[in-house]
Amino acid sequence: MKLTLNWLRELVELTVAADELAALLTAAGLEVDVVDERRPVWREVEVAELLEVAPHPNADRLQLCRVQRASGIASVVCGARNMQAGDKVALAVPGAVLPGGHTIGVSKIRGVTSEGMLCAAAELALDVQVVGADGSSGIMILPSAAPIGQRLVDYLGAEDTVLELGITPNRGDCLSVLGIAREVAALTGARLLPPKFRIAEERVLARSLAQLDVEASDLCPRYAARVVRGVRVAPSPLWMQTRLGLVGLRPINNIVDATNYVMIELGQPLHAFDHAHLTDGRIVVRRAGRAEMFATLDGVEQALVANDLVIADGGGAVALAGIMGGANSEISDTTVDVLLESAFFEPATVRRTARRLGVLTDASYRFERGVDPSGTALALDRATALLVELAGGVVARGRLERQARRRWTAPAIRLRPARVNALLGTSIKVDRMRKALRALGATVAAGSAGALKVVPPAHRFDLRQEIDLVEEVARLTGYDEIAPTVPAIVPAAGDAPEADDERVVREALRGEGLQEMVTLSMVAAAENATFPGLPGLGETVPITNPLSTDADEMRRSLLPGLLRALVDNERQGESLIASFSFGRAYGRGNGAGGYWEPRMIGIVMAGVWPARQIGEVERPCGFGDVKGAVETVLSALRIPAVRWGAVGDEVSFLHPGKAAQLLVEQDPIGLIGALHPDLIRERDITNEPWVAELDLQKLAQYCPRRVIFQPLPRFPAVQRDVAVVVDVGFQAQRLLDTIAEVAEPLVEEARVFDQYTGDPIPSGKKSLAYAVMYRASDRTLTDEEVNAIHQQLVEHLVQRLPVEVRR
Amino acid sequence: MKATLEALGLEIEQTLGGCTSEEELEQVRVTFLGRKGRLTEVMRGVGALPPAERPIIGELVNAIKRRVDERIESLRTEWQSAARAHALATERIDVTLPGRRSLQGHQHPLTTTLEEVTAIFVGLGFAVHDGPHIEDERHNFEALNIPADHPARDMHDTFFVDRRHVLRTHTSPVQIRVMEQTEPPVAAIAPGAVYRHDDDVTHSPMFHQIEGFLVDRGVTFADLKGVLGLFVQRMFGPETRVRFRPSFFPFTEPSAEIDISCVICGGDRFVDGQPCRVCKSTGWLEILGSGMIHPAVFAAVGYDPEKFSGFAFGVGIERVAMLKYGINDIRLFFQNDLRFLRQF
Repeated sequence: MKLTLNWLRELVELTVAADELAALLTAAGLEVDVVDERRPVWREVEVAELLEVAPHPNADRLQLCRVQRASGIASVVCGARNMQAGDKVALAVPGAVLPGGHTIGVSKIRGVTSEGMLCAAAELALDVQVVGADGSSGIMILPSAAPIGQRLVDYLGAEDTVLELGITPNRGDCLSVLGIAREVAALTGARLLPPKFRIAEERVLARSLAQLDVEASDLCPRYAARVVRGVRVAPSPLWMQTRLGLVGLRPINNIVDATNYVMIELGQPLHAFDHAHLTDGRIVVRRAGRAEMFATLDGVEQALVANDLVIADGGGAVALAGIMGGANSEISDTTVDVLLESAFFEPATVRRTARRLGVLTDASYRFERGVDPSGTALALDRATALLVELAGGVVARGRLERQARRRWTAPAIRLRPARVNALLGTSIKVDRMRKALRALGATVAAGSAGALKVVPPAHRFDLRQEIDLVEEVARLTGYDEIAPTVPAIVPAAGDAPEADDERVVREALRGEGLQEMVTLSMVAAAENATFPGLPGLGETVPITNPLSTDADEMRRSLLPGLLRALVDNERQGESLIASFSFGRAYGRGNGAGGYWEPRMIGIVMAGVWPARQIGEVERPCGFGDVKGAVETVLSALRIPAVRWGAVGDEVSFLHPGKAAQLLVEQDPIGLIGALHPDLIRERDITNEPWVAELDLQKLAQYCPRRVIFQPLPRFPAVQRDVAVVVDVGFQAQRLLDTIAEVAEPLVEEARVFDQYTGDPIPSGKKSLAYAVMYRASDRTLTDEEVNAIHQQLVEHLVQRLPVEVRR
Repeated sequence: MKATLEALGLEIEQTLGGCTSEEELEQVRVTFLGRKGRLTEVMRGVGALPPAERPIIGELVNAIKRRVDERIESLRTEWQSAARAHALATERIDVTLPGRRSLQGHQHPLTTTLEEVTAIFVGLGFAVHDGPHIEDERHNFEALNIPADHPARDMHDTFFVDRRHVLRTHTSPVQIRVMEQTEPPVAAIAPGAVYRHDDDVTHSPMFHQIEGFLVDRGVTFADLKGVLGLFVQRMFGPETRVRFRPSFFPFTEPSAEIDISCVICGGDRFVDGQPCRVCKSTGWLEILGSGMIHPAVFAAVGYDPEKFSGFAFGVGIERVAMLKYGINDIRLFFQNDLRFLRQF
């Protein structure tokens, strides 16, 4: 919402400077975003009158003008031809600066002295339509009433301060100069100056010229109209064009400008119809009915639905109520008679239709937020008077008016002063509250039990209950006056442990050299098809109104986002991308019903680890890196036993020979492996990415919340190794599983510590070496005892497995 | 015998004098004092001496032995210390060569900022809660006093996933969820991702907020000012000034926008004579939205507004992080450019 300081001064006795005013309004909740002082450089351009226009003695294309200034007569050479003696013009006097920095001086042009320059609108960077101007070569001809000697900036009102305010949705009453003036009055005690105008009505009755019918009085509780006949449609006077320009409105013509001007001034949107185009001279306010088509004045054909409110004539719709007029009844150069509308439409109706059609106008913006229902007639009369002032014509007698039977005065609100102070933590006196509320225009009377009975003014329809008045008291006495206190907060037990899980895992992965990333939750549908996430997620969640097709579904997996970052970083020339991310996967209808958003961990690693020190060598990322990262996660969360199983065919994004699923107690909890070569090629990835995705939500369930101390062993452990030769396809875990099956009680732990292929191991075979730790809890084991047990264990292995012991 | 011994003693001394290494010393020790050493052999002859001479000669042998031992030990010590001195004088490494390091990953700046904000409120006694990102309209809007067809919905450009569910536009629905399940007193914060249908230099379709609220008997607007003033000073430094100004949120009343003195110009509005670009020369930066929880919200969760009162607030994490680190484009947080991430 923009307004100018001079405009505001017309409606309230302003006593403070612009900066102070801005601070005052901001502190009262009307945030002033911009204070823009418009001081045109061409302040030395003044109004002058042409006394004589004669040809230049030495140049065919130039004119020599004698110009009446306030200080005397000047002689000016001019190249334009659109002027004649008696015209008022804009004279840049010697010393005047024009936009672009050019300074006017006294000069000789073809031997003749020129004491200034006659200006065209464009030369002053003015975006106004000038009557009588014939193209860009013409100078600006001012109205004959323009006073000689007055500075043009003053005549136009171009020197002003524009305030831009961010008005919150509850303060529709502040979307006008009047609204801000009321606030200024309430805040400073200054006097309001209501707009002064007078309407001279002719004898012909408005109702004899037009007929009003409000069928949908529930959606249009108040409607008023006037008829003005015999107008002359033309560009508005320059001051009007200038002022509308300052507040960001484009001047159209004197009729439309008058309605826009009053909308900014009083906050009431108005609409002018060409009376000649209203079939049967009728105005019918009704619901659209089914599937009506309607062309708004911006030329767009709109499909209406039953509950859209329209203004219709005897034929069909002529306006979308409160939103935009129709092309069929628009004011044009040939308009002679005008029907001017001022109404109160239900905010929700206007909002629904405007949103659905995507037509957001200054009018709909105001109606959605609510206009003052008590100001309908006043705004209509003000606009009528202004219209006649600008465009002439005669006003038919009386207003066409309908209003719904409803209670128009706001009900009284009971305000308990003690409640105000209890909520604010203040000790504001009742008198001060009363004064603040009265300054807003509310009536305040004594109620029962020390309470106040407050009736808010009609324009403050946001004040409905006690809490609204509490806010008003706080706002008007000032938030600064409330002294801060710090309450004692009893800490609640049991924080969400999620953040702790994430913190532990994050620290562990960072220590492994992985970079944390944050990726968006929305992905392209194709990405979800490629990366369906872990089993059990249910159906995909599409976004009904995506910003783009690149992000039209909620992700099922964190991998697309991380892979995207991988590609981007590879393009930046990064040689190692080791990354992880926390985030949710999204699905629905997975049995639990509704939506399901498990927390996930994604890991993507590709490229080359740099040498850790001079003299060491760099090392490409491999399966060990991503598995190590996953093991780091598991160990950080103290997840006890996990298994690495084969993946099914449905996991098509991983290399089938380099992939595994992670199981905890048979529960699939994650996937790990190399990205499928087809995807690497498609995405133009340089280094083979190793990826993993874990369901943190599930992992957390297996995560012991307590660490329980194990007594230290009293007797030493003894290690024995066994090396076996196996087929290359043999998985190392199988032998460990067999040791576990044998379940020798003295075996404390077994692990694989080496793998070897090459001479002397035959091709197609590999050697695996295992270490087995033996320990008894009640004695030190002897060598003989351990050797015997180990020998027995090895024999078991040979019997059960296709292995050959290496001696 | 005595003369022999003395001659031998002299010989040993001379031999030792010619030694240049610890190995030679050891050789000398073995030659003279070893099991088959020459002094040892002499000592074996002591038994054949007359009893009166035995102690004298024995004493002499021991004295020579002691002297030799001491001499060897002193030479050894001297040489070792010389060797150490030599090593100290000559051994040199290039301390400017890089160390042996394992690569460390970095924490995302949004995580760091979220943790900082969270830690401050946890320290004040607030508990951390979580809620769904896909939220029903009741929790995201209606229970928060934002009815359908209300202009306040303009403040939330909303993504829909079906007719009744949206991507939550703020973390405030967690407020409703916690209050639905907890009786006052309750002090909670809810950090997390939120979504708005918007994408430019200062808006990302996904961003992060921390919602917080306190409900108890007798909680006041003065408490709101106290707690949030404390937060701002802990987050941005004790010199930070704070300003509370009236605003509008449907779920709070009275509502307050909280500004802090500009982190760049310190509220002076100018930096080196130029208007401050970060605060647009206003001296203030908007940092928090807050207010007293609206009675309609209490009604929606079944709290009695006559018995309880409370305040709520919301912090935009990206905004805090942008101010903290001087970042000018919100999209950098989600592009995951390693050159960006490594800076934190």
